[in-house]
Amino acid sequence: MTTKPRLNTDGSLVAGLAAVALFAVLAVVFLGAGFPAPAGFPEGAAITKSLGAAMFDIAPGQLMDEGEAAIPAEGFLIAFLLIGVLLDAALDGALMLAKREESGENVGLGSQSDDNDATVAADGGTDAGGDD
Amino acid sequence: MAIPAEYYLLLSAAVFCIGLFGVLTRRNALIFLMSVELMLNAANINFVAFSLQHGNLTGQVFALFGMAIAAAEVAVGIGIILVLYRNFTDVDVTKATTMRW
Repeated sequence: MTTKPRLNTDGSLVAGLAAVALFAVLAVVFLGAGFPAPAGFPEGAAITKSLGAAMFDIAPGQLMDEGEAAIPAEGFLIAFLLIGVLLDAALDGALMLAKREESGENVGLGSQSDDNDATVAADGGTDAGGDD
Repeated sequence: MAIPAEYYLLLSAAVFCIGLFGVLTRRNALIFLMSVELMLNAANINFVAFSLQHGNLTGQVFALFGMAIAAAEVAVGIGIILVLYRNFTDVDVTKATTMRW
């Protein structure tokens, strides 16, 4: 008996024909469009530095060493901050979705109600010993 | 010698259509999520290609933001799949029909 990977054929592949048809249409359109030769970036262009300058709205000339050409771009500082807020919101959303509650109490990792014993047993869990 | 823009667009269309194929034919929610990622990254290929075409870096910066959006989308998507598995003990998207009506 072999364990080689097999093509997943459960479910119909007919619906996928729409995707293949879409690719055919797109290919015909793109190959018939006729683009001019790409402008490209100049020789010695500092692409990564220019990217950083564009992302933080710094004038690119301030970052360049000698012989490095800055590439024009727009400023994206506000967009950068908004993306930061979005990622924060996504983290909160993922935590909210992943939190499991039973009768109003958290269940799972990080909660203390796993074994209905509210006291933290940091000494290995034995009740004897200590000051009591 | 720069590669003409048509080929980047063809690559992007191919990646997008592979993602669309996955969304249309598969039933596993995790594979759905991967397919949506393919479609998002096809857009990023276009951004970078036209950045080179116009000699302007705006498209490359925008592609970076597209990746951040994709990360946020995956975080929420995996959370939703987790809840789906808890409620239906399955990640088959055709089984979760409670909210259909």
